[in-house]
Amino acid sequence: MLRDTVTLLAVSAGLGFFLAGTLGLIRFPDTPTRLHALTKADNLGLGLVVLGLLAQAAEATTALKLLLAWGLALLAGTTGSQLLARLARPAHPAGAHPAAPPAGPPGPAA
Amino acid sequence: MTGALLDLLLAGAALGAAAWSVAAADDRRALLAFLGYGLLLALAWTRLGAVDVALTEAAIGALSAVLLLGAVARLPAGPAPGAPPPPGPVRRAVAGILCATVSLALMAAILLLPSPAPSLARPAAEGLPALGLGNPVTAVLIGYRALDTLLEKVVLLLALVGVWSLAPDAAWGGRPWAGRPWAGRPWHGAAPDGSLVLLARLLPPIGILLGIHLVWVGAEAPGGTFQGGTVLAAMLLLAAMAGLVELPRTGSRGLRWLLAAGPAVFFAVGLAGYALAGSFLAYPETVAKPLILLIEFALTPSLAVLLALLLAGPAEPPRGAR
Amino acid sequence: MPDPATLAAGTAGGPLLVLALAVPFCGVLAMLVLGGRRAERLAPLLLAACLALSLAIAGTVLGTRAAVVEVIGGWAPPLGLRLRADGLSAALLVTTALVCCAVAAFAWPDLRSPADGPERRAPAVFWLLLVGLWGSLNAAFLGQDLFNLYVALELLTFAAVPLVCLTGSRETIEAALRYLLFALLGSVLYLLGTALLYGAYGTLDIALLRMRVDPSAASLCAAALMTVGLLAKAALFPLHLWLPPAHAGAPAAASALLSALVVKAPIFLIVRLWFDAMPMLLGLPAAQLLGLLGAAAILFGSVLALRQRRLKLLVAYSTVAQIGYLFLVFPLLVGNVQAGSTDAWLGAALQLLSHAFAKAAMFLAAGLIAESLGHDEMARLGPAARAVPFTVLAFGLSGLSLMGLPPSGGFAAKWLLLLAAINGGQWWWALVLLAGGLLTGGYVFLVLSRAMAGGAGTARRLGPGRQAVVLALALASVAMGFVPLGSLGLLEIGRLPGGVP
Repeated sequence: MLRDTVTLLAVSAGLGFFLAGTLGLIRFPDTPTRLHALTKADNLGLGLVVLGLLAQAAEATTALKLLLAWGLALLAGTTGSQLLARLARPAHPAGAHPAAPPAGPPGPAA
Repeated sequence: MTGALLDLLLAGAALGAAAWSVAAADDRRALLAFLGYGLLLALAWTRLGAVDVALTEAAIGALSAVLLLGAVARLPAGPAPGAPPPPGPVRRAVAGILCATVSLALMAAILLLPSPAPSLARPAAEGLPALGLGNPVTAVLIGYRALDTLLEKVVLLLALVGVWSLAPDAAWGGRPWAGRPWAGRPWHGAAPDGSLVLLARLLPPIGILLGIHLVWVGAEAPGGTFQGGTVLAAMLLLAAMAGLVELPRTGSRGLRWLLAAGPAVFFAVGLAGYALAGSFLAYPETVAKPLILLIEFALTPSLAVLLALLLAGPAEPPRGAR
Repeated sequence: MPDPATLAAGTAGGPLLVLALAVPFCGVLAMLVLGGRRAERLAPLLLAACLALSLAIAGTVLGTRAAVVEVIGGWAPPLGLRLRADGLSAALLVTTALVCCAVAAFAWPDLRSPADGPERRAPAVFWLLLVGLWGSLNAAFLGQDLFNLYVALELLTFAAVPLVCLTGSRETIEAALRYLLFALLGSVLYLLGTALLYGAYGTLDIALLRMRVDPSAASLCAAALMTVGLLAKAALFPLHLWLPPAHAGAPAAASALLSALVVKAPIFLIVRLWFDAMPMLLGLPAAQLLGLLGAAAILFGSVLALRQRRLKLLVAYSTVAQIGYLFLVFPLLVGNVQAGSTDAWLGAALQLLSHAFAKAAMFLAAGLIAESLGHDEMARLGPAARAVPFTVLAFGLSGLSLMGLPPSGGFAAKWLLLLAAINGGQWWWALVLLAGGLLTGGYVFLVLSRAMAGGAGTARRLGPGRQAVVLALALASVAMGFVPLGSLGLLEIGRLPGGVP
């Protein structure tokens, strides 16, 4: 009973973050701000969902696998958003990374 | 009730993604919709209880995403010069009518299939103890229909030779990606101490473990050679994209031994079946499971390298030699 | 009616069938590892071994007067797989072996890596794919399970497509890509049909399907889908668009393989589907439709061949036309149930076999003429006859077989088809056959007259070795008319009873 309540609360909260992230993805004006919105979905949204499912996990190994899934999603999301942000950043000599390329291949369609 | 609602949502989303992919304004949008469609299909397979297929769909979807995104990035944004004009309304209408007819016929045929459908699930399950396996999908792949799996591995090899045949004559036997501006360094000028390289250092150990685990657990639970091999191929490609590992020379003897080893072991076990159990690809009951595991673990590295090379493409002349 | 005990039993000589698959594919693996000149020297050994295997299988079929069967892995259908060689399969295996050996003999002198240098691209790819193609054809001719046949089709596609763009020029890569798209579309349609059949009947084995299939929505839909898919691969009008550029753009040896053998496998599979797996499910109207498309292919292909300005394109359109003859067998067999249809069956089989030899000879001859003259334009073929006389003779002989003039194999085939048409009361196909023969004669004589016109132009004389190979193939297609296939009864061995007699 308690488990189910925890799951419901946590997953609903997580869905709330997912909703916020999606809304930001659609409504924000440019790539960096959209990436910022997406991080909400990845970190807190998925985290809360995983937290809720942890309450339902029957064995410890399942719980560990869920946490691993969250960790991997965080890793992939971090790398992806860093790379996308680098490509979407306007050329800015003052703040440019020392090893940044002068120009990259065509960026993703906005 | 909730199950049916979920299925309806999933089916609707998949169809929507497919329709968006067909109707998209340009290639990039169509491709992204197609990749989303692939992931939704993987969920659909899970709902149907075919977890092995869902794993394969997700894994192959990821690899084909790399291939397709790379290809789309090299295409010009608009129509190519000299390309034929896009089809007019009449041709589109005819194509639409043909596709609709085929779809309706398929729908009618599927809805009118006998139910409960005749299936071989029970004979397949009854044969499992003789093979020492717990996963009927693996039993079908490496037991009952092993010849099909073996021939499909040969198909992959032939496809790889075909991809290699697109190399320029002078570059035959060279390395893939050798002609890119960033050869030997991280892709597209990513920073050597940046996030891509960090990912390529952190993820492959986990990925390799996961891949081997998928192959091992495939005997009892969903998993198997192809799923594990795909994960391993993805790790190899990630390391190569980060410049941490150089893809092997396509002419190197060691690489060719590695590629041929998997199918060769499969053939050897198959032909040994004549001596051991009286028929090609037959497994004597006492050693069935060890033989099957031998085949799977011999196939996995071959498959992983093969898939990675298939995605990497043909050999290119080295940058300075252009 | 096959009972479970019969299905689980193999026959003597069964392991030969497995070797027919294992030897070429293990050979591919070995060639991949050896690389370079050593791999190319392995190829003739493999081809000789495969020739011996094919002859052994044919001999066993003839000797035991029954089909050779091998059950794979000890698992009987429907759970497992079978391989089966009946009379028609055995004849096709031997023809494949002979044509592959001839093509190898043709390509041997000049498509090699240097003795002391590294492996070169075109020879390495060609020899590896030649052996792979042979194995794929064996798999298509021996399979008895619909999914196994799908794998064989995939093998064929991926062995054949890189051969089309072997030269690497832009047009050939476009042609190869178009071929690949058509082939994959065909495979997808075939697989859809297979899935429907499994869903409806719970088995994919041809003998079991034959027992269980009945005209339901699923089986009709599946039969239609699979037939259309295989038609796309076989390049029947109007799905023939990919064939002329692909076959004309490939190097001569590859074109010979593609036109003579690769296009035949899907047609063989349609025959298997229609007469073995789902006998007469689609009925006479569908058969008449196939015959109509075949007639359209004959007329359309021959007229287009007459208008070509390049020799290799002419020969490619001739392939489009000759494939149409093979589809006339459907209305003739399905409509002739009462009148006895051995004629149509024998005629179609003879057309398959003699066309393989004749078209291979024609493409190799066209390749030699192009090499001798430096070009293959129809308008400037004049010096060919003096430079490469045996080649032009071979071209003429194979044209003889394609036209259907006695005493060639093509004549025997078309004569039998004519008989079947007239005896079965479908006289309109006889008209199509005659018209096709006339048009074929038209373009063959066009080429011969231009080639013998003489006149100015430089032409290299070529050595006798390759010309001898081409001449041997052409003579084989003529000699098919003398092989007493009918009285040997080879083609009747293993035909499943109870469907079409």
